[in-house]
Amino acid sequence: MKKLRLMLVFVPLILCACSTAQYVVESPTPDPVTGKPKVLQSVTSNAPGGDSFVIVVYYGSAITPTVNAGADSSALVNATAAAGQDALNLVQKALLTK
Amino acid sequence: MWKLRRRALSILAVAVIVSGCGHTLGQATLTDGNVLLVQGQGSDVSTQVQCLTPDTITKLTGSNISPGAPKQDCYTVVSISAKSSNISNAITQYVQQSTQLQAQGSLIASAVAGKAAPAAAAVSAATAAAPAPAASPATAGVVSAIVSAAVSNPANPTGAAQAAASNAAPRLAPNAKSSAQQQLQNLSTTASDPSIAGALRAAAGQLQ
Repeated sequence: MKKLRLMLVFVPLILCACSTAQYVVESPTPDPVTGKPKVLQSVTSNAPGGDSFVIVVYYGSAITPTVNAGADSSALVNATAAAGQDALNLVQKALLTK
Repeated sequence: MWKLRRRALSILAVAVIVSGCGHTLGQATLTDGNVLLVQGQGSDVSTQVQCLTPDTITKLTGSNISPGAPKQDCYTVVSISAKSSNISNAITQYVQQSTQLQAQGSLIASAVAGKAAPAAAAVSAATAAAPAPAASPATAGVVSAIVSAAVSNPANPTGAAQAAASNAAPRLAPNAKSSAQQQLQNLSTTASDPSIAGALRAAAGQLQ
């Protein structure tokens, strides 16, 4: 019974530690006081998996980055289509302003 | 005895959790020189840095840009995947293809507009340099990505080009690296914008 209780406490804890990750933005120049790299932002979210990836959008050191976990291959298809559309928009804009 | 075993188990569990928090799985240099670290427990990760338009980010993530973010033409996006996963290769392919697509779009737009923009000229040269004998598709993609990073960040072309180079360097074999360096050096002599030329030279140095 005690063993079961222990497992109920620790197993989720360990599993939780494995499936999350910390996304930390650091300054390359060390903090003059501590001598260690200065942490500017930190976000905890899911870690990338076998068939999913994580997208971090960085807005600059003063703003907390957006972390999107669990993106899959369909996101890549959408983004590739968007890159193509962006390229077409550039050409279209050039044609219209000529 | 039971108490001892329980204590040992507790220590083990805490050690696993603490070590999981402190272990760096991967990192990426951002366009402003800061570093993004991925920490946790599990397999190492690979990272890809791009500057994407808000529209593309919405398509990629399914959500809009943070409302508090300053307005920019493109934002730094880092794609993070487990190194051993299949999706890691898919992301590398996507980044190379979309970067070349954007570069070609810029080039055609400049040609249509009849403007010999230094950015377009540099991108054109990068694309033309791709089939050089010692170059591989990976080299061409890297050179193109570095050039695009430099020209799409007029505020800090050197930082952007160096960040792109430092992200790409681990993926390149030594001969591909020297080929990419040579192409960047050649391009730096043809770029009419001195800041782009300097950025390309700095990126070539970063690949060493």
